[in-house]
Amino acid sequence: MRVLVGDDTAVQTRAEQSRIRTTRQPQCTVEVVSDSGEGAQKCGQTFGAVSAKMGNGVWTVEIIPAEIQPPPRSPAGASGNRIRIGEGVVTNWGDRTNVAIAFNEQVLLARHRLDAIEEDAILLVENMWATHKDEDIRAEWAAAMDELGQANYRIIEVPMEEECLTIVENARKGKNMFALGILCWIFDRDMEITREQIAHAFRKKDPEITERNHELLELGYSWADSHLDVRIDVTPGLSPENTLVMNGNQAIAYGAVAAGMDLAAMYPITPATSVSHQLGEMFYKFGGVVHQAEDEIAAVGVALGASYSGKVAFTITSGPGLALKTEFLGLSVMSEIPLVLVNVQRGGPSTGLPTKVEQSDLLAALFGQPGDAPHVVMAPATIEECFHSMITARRIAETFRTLVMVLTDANLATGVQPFPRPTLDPAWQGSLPDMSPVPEGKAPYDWDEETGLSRRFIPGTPGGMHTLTGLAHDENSKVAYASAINQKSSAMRSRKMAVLQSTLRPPVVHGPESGDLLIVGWGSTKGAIEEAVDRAREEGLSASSLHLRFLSPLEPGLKGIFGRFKKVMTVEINYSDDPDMPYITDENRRRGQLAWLLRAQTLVDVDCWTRVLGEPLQPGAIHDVIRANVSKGGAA
Amino acid sequence: MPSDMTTDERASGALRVLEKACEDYHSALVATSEELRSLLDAGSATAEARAGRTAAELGAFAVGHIDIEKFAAFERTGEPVAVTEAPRLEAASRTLLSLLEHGNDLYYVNVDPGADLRDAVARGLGRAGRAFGAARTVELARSGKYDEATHGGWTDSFPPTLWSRREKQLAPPLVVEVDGADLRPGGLADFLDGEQKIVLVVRGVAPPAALARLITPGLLVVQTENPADLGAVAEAAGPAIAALVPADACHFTHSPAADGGRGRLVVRHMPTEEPKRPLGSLSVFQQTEAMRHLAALAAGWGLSAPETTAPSGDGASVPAPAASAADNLAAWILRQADISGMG
Amino acid sequence: MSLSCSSLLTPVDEDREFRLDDYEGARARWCPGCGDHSVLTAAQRLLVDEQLKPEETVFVSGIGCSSRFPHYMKTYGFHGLHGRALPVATGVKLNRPDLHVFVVMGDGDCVSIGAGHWVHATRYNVDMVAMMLDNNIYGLTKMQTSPTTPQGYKSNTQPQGSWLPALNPLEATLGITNASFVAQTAEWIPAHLFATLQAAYRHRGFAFVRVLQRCPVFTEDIYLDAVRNPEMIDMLTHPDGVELPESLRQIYTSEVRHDPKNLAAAREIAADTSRLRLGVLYRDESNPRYEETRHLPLHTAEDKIRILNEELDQYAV
Repeated sequence: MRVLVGDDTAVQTRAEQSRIRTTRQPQCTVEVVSDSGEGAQKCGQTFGAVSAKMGNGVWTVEIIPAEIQPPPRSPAGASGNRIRIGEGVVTNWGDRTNVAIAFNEQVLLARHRLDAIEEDAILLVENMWATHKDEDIRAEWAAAMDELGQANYRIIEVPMEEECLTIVENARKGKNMFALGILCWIFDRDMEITREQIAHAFRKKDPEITERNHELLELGYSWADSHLDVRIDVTPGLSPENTLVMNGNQAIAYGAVAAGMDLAAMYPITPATSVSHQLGEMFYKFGGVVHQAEDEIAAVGVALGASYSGKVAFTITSGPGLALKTEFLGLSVMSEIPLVLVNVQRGGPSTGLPTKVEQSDLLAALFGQPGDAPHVVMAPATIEECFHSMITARRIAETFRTLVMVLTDANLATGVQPFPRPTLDPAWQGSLPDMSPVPEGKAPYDWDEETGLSRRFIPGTPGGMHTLTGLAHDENSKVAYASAINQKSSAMRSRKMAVLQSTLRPPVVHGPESGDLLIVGWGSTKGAIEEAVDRAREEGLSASSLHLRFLSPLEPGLKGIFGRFKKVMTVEINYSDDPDMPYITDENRRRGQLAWLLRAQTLVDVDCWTRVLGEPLQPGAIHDVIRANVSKGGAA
Repeated sequence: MPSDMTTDERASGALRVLEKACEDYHSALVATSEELRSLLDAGSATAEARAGRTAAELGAFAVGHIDIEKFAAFERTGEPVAVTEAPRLEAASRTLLSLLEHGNDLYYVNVDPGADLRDAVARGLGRAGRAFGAARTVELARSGKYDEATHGGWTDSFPPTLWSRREKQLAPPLVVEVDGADLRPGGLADFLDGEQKIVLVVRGVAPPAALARLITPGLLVVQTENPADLGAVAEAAGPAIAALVPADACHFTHSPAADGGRGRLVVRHMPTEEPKRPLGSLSVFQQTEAMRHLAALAAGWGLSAPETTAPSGDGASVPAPAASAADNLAAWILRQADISGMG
Repeated sequence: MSLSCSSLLTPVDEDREFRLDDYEGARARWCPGCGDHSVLTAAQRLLVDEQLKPEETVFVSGIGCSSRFPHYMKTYGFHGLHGRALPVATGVKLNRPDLHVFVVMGDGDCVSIGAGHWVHATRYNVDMVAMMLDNNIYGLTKMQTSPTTPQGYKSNTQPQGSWLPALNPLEATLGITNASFVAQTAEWIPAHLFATLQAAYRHRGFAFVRVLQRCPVFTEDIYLDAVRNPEMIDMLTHPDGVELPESLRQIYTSEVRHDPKNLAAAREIAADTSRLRLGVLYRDESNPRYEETRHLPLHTAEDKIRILNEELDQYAV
């Protein structure tokens, strides 16, 4: 279906507005796409922020172009934001897009070909290309519109360029605010909040720019008011009081500050780098340091040196950087220097998918260090948890003299979500390490025989002088020459993980504690999995889910919980063999990484469903998996 | 008690120049205060209170995932603070917090007209030095060596005469406002050690070369009307003193960092006439002697004429060459400087 | 005792005096005749001379013969990873400017596996003494060619002799932007070694000292002539660098006055390998030091929470 709404349409009068139809929807997904540099991101972010301020649940995901400077109007250049808003809390990016606004037809085509758009979606597209002076472009337009026309979309052509030129000289710089105006009309956004948000976004620029953007916003709004006939009502059902809106990397950065850490060492790597952007400014105010090291190895070395000499420091990286840091991570474990490492996972192996999400580093995080190197691995599941996990991570690192890895991913890193504003507590920053004089005869690894725990001697502590070493060593940090020493010190380092595990609580099952199917997940997939489980339960399917925060040591009680379900399977964003593919047998099938771990630890036949599409999982897709694995009568 | 609030713009300017030293000292106060807080938190609490604190420290992520009581049981407790010593630690903590509240006024003293400069400086340093006294009190209390008779009152005042070598390296800077008539800086030599920086902001008529008498081989001495010259004090490695004086006084910089000869003493302005009138308790002779002393040092280093510039007109003319006794003194100081290797 | 930026809490006996045995750790287990012994003694003497508190002094090393060094000191020590001593030392100093940091590296550590860190540590110019104990060979792993092995010198990995000309660490370090102190000394001249380490310690910034060193097992012959014939060595002297100790004046008669401020001259001296030259080649304290990037003053936990709250306001809905 193709509806043309353009200049040829007569300007509507107020009286005609009775034909405007408003549909109420519990949730809706909106996309703004353009060539990179046309400001679609700003438009999308502002729309998301305004919606959050009005009390909608929001989850925003960046659409990142595949190339740095893609040619204009190429499908590979699709750049923008995908904003899912809901009446209540939104925990994931949802399924397909319901409303899209595109600055050219090619980026829209790209989204269509990626199967990102819902069947009955409303697509608003800039129509200047239809009459472009370049014949090739006109041909491209015609072909694209033809292809899009095959689907059941409602396509609305919008003369963005023409309209914007009535206000600004360079429409390319103004279309995004015009587009925002259209979206504000469709979703009946609070214009006062929108104007404030725009002013905030451009606060560092000339006030004239804010003024111009306000005009463009109004223009888009009034254009929509006189030309469109459909409005969507996603009623804000949340109290926006005391809420923060930020992405996962920002949450990690502020969490680190709240945790009292004041030295971060890093080397630029996508998608982790932006953590350091926040910290650079914050730490400067506190007397802290963000050290951009010469390489990934030096970054972890500096963090370890800093931790060794006092408060716990941290480093941030992504897959390739994790690989490079390996030797130092082993040293952290061996010498029992606390350290926090944040790994913002992206697609791998090797350079992989630098800007896209994957959960493929789990096993590397757990076992990537040669030798036996037991340490803690945690995974926040939401943006809010990104913030709070840093506080816990630092604390565990300090108490257990251990390396703590925090695994997030590109989905959390760039996703934006409102969450309750934390009530900051100075206690999060912890106490400074004990530096009181060391009593005579106390050793730097005075392991408690039961727990493996010991006091850390920090430079400056009188009487604590010793030489820390990465060689196998005894209680006194003396290089081990006797055969039994390595056995004992290995046991002591390992024991700490058992001790920590003894303090963990069994995970809480989402849904009934027994049934046909239990989905197990970790990290950023929580929202999508739980939404899928809820949908399945509404259909009468017996499904529950469980989400792990601690991967090492693993949370207790799993075997017991698994035993109460007919089938247990993980849902993950990493690769696993499809059992139906050639040569794949139950014996040689490579399974999802969490599945692998759970099978090894629980001896339960845990199945898995995983995808590596470079995007977050959609609740709809997981819902399909549940349907396929549970029939109304029981597990399939 | 005189009010130690900066009023003179020159005094606040001097504090700004010394900002780095003020911040360093402030940072040391913060670091000490935080460390002391940790000590008190770790050492004093009951098991129950510790679990409460652990819960707070672990934060919201731990809720539902970590059994706080079990976790707290594995925490290493700090060396307990003896019950009898806890009040001393708390007093020390209060002292540090109260010093932090002073802000930059901690590094400023005002000398009331007619009052003694040395006493005022001792008071200012003794006040900022309470931080050292507080830190020492903590260490003494923890090691069981605290003795009320000897150490009591260290958190109230801890004069520089008690400071250790290390404490003198961390010395708080001080900006002092004083009347020209009370500018008798001789006694300040007692405090110029370690990394001590003192800036005197002189009100009204001043003796022309008061600070000249402080010139010794390792001490940076600046007398100037131009606040920009104070930068040398802030940057000096080692002790330094400066005075902001009226335009008609001597303006000079004695810089131990300069190589043995050239540049060690730069006299930028020398009054054309020797003082004629007594100033406060300073006789004409005393004022003149200081001026002659400066001229003699400059002449001894052979620098006065070529290095002299006269920003304010005819200041280039220098009083008659100094007597041979002064020559000898200058030569002696120069020799000392070379031998000491401090140049 | 102190943490982070100079806490004032210090042990009550802080004015205690330290003697040599206060700095002596485990008995050194290097081969007899190894140059490492001499460097160890010089370092311990330096600590006595400067009266550095053992608990406020950290020796950081990598992996190799010389990297056992910290074990033989009674200070804090960090015997870490091959080639990675400098990042660790940088981390220590960034977090704790109050500590005295010494780095002990071998030639393999510094200019081979850790070469990237050497370049950048030089540029960061963090205040520490970085000693490169250069015996021109991999000793611990039994005689493999190192970057500083002389051309033609035979080893287990290059039995036909090292194919390439030796890397010149002085020339290379002097070529790095923001280098602030570059010196060379020799393990067999203890008085000069001591004077050079002292100058390096007193320098505010990253002090790179290459210590020429004999390995009695694998490279005994490399410096044999120079040891026997002091006239083969030029001593670079200057009040701003090191002066020739009185005890050496009679022996080392070839003295070259060299102003360490003169970078061009330093580079020329470093590049000319026709003679051995010991002394401070270059020194400039005016270079920016990376640890000062840290913005003071520090803030208390409560203050930080207040500032963080203000910061979070911009994300508030």
